[in-house]
Amino acid sequence: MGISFLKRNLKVFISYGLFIIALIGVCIFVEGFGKFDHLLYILMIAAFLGIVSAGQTMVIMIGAIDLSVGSVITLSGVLMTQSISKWSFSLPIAILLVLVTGIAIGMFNGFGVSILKIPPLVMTLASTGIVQGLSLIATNGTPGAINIEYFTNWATQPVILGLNGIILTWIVVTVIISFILMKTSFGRSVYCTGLGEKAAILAGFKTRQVTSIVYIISGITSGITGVLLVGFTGQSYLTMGNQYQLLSIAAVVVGGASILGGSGSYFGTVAGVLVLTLITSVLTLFRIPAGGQMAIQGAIILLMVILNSIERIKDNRG
Amino acid sequence: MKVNNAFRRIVDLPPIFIPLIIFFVLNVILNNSILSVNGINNFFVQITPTIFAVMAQTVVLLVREIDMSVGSVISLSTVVMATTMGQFGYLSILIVLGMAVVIGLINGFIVSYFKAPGIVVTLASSMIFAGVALVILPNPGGEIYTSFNRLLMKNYLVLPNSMIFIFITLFVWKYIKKSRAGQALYATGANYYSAYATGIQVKKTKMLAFVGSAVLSSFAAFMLCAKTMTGDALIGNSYTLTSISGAVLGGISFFGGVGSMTGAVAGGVVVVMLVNILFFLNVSSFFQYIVQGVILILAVLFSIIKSNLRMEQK
Repeated sequence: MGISFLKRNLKVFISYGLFIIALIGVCIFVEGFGKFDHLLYILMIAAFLGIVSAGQTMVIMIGAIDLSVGSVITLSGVLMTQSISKWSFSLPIAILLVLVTGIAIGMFNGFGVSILKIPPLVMTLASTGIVQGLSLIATNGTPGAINIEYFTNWATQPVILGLNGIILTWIVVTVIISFILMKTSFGRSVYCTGLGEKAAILAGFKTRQVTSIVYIISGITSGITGVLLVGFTGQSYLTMGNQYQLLSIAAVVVGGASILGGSGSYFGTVAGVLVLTLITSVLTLFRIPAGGQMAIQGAIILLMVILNSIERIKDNRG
Repeated sequence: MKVNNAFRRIVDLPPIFIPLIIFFVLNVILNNSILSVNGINNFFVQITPTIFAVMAQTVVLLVREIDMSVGSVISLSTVVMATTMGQFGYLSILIVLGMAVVIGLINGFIVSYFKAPGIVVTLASSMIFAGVALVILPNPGGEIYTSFNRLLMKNYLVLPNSMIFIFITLFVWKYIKKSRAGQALYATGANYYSAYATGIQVKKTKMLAFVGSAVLSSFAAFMLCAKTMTGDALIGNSYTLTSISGAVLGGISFFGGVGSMTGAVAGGVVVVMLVNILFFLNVSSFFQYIVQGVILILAVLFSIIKSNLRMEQK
């Protein structure tokens, strides 16, 4: 069991190994990198990507894709600040509003993909446009800021064991998603749907339901990320979610999941999230401009996709 | 017999021409200055970039792939054009075209020879192109000749030059479509394995489709450069979504091998005209994002229903 487990998750372990080697390398060569506070800070930045990628992982596992995560994060952030500062909601109700919106968008995506049979890419691209429009309407073009001290403190200051609210939320999300994927029958049906929808239907899985639920989970995780980003910065802006649209897909692919579905694990995605966050923070440290960072991230995804494809071609021949 | 043939041809026109005519009439009613010589010129200047973007997407959709890098190739092309024109003059057109061919070859090579899904490959490569464009020109700028602006924006022969540019491209496409390569394009998209079995070089065909897409995207960039007189690393962003909705509205099937270029062009025009109409009706520009999303969903739904009907007929 031990060896087969190792073999099956070889790529994931390689990702973690690379992360640790890179981290040690950076800590040695870059001054100030690697102090405990700084590591916690990187972990917090990674948490945002980690939580969105949890939903994206499940979507990619069923062989679909969710391009709307970035716009949902923006809308969530916008709804948080608008509902508290303009519509004078209380904090819990604002968070509830955000989560309900995330669920609604997830249901919309899931409905389009599973019932109307619209290709996932197109469906979520279209809902990206719609959600962007909603953000603009909700803010009238100028998003606001909120100033709730206890919320910001909870998010960014140590709460328990020196960890802040953002990292704690990521830990909770990790536990829940891993439990769902590994220990529940729903988790099994996610893998099976991704391996082959027709076979899964014949085996008695309700694949339409699985698809819808997976998109709803993705909507919720995006919503949570939006809430946490507002807790982190105290404000919302209309491009706050943009980078997560592609980075979340990158994290899943770097984590060893096949973009065609049926493989991967959240454990692997977390490795992808850590590697990507480390690379981004090193690039920022070397003052590489945003464009250069984007190009390098794109190159990493491309490389991973090519490696995965070569492996698949080899598997088919063997 | 002849009348019958003519009738056939009208019936065979893609259904997109009905909304095209309706929208055009609506457009004229809301803004009748469109019917003047200048009005038509302005109208064509406005729609040409979208039309080329739609054409670019169409070539790839025909082989049953999708190109998510249309927008960023447009951005990168405007940036390269604006930064090289000062030094190399009109040679920069060739530089941009050469770059587009290389981009298409890279995308196409990875998709067809590594059998990687086109969606992710082009998403990743679009990040690279957009990133490089931002590195070259963080803010809009560069230099475009006034003569280049006149060449594409004016109307030397009553008809707008931009319209002639489109018609030449469509004319060339007509011959490409009839050629071996064009037939291979449709065959590969309709059924990859049958095409392979009949001896068509499917991988090469797919690669050529991506090259065609990148080159047509750079045509859109020429129009944008001439229009704005600058290079802008963000100008292409919205064109990826528009190119897909336009092509699908125009009857290009998502499942490859079905649809005509003229239909796709008409689809692109409809998308732009819809935005125009919303503008004249004083609808807030915020709603335009929503409308574009809804159009895309409806267009795809329509095409799915149509292909289901076709399957049943068989």
